[in-house]
Amino acid sequence: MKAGEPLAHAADSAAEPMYAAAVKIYPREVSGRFARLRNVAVVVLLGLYYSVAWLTWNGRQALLFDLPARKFYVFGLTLWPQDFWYMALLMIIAALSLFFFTALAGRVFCGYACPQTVWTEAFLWIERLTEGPRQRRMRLDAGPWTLEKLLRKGGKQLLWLAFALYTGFTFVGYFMPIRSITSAALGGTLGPWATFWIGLYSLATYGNAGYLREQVCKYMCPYARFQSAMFDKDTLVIAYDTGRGEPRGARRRGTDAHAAGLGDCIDCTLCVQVCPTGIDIRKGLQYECIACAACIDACDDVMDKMRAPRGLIRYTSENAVSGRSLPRVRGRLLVYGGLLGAAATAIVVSLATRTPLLLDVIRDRNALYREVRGDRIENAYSVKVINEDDRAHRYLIQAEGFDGLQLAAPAAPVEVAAESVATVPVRLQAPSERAAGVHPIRLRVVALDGADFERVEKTRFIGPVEEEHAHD
Amino acid sequence: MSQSVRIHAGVVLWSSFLAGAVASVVFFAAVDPALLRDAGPRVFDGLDREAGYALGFLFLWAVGAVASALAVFLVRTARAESGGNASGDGP
Ligand code: SF4
Ligand code: SF4
Repeated sequence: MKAGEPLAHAADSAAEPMYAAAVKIYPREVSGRFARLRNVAVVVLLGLYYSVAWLTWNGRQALLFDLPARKFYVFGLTLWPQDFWYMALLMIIAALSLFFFTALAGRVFCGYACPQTVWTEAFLWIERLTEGPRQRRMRLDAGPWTLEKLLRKGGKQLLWLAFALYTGFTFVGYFMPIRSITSAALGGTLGPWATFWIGLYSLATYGNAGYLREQVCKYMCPYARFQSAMFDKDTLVIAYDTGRGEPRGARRRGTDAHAAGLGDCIDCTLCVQVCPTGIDIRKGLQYECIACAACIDACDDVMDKMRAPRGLIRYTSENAVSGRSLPRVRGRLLVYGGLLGAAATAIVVSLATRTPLLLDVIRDRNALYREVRGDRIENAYSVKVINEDDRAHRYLIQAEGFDGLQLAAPAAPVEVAAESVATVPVRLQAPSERAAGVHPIRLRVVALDGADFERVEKTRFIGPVEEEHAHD
Repeated sequence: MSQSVRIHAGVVLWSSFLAGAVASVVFFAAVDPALLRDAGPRVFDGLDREAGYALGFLFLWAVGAVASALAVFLVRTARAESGGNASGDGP
């Protein structure tokens, strides 16, 4: 490593074997196929993040996990706390996809889609905008405080802070209606908790993307540590072709490397300079590598200039490097893929067949049963009819279970407004001679007005016990 | 405060933050904080749901932090006793 190159990192620093004494890394800007791909990913993902919060659907926010109201709106779908299953399934699907794609293609998520990567990239753009490219930034940091340095650094901080604040605000806008928190923020009436969460998320964005950067990947990310468990010899990784590159060494352009006894690596260290985590990929696969492919772009450029074939550093797999080129279909992939398919099918099927009606039946707590008119036994229930649909419905309540069971109330169908809950007192009666003992029964609630769905809930009808009846 | 202590504190706070966040999601998906308030002691009267979420999260985070700190403490002191390198941060 040349003197003055601030490239020291964890593996090189003898003082702290476990944790880097946070040497600041100045990743050099790259251009090339993968850099373009990442830029596209960053623009698309950030674009989605900042705009989807403002989309409306049927007159309300399209994607809103309304925590204060405990209702989740996902476009046309309204999920209630009772629909927790869907959220659980969605999380399982997300985890399985991560497993699947990690086994298939290594850490593609890290390099292109992880929020940490995406926001770090955006913060780096701001940094380049205000402080200039890598060499300029390093000189600026090393130099004395001049007016220019103050302006450049101050401008960067201002942009960073504004961007982080807006990011935190948008984040909270997915959990509280974004239009109402906007007007509250503008009017200075934002609640203390909304302020707290916006502050927390902004601070996290500012710290993680502005300062911690690659250290989040190295020290804080659990995924980075356990991903190796999902790797196998066919997993796509970014690797340096040692056989082709070594022995490395500087040479004049046009030198015949082989005649000079050299490999293709000219030891320009560009692959190290561009690396956002500050590692040297030529030392082999390291867990710090987030597979961002910046070193591929940098090296391809060099190979082009040297008129050597590209791909000294490339996406490849352990098997491919050792000559076994055909990626096999692996048990691991089949298992992850199978589970993923099953979970996805489950969620699609259950959403397609979902009934936007839920019941919660509670028996009257005060009395097991009541005698009415001398010859009938009555049980009382309180039935919560939860209409999850986005329009009002009328529901007919029916009871079934044994001969003679009759509905005494409610007398007419009940009307429940869109997305609301009605608590309906229900009374059931049966002739005394049929009612003795405990009867399992079913309450059926049928939607009228053309909607064609119903929900059945089990409960019990309790009558007097035989001896007690005789005793009376 | 040595660097290793600071790093350990960071790891404790961070891992308990992750666990607390996941625990809050799971817990509050099933339980409405408003119901807890109504069933709980009088000191919680007047708090709204948002306060419930935030306090619940902070509480779960704190519990996680205590557990992780205890784990780190026990692991570190155990290593010292077995004659190894006490703090793991070099000579
Ligand atoms: S290592 Fe972790 S934080 Fe870093 S890019 Fe990958 S997933 Fe994101
Ligand atoms: S080694 Fe290459 S792919 Fe890995 S993090 Fe560094 S630049 Fe990115």
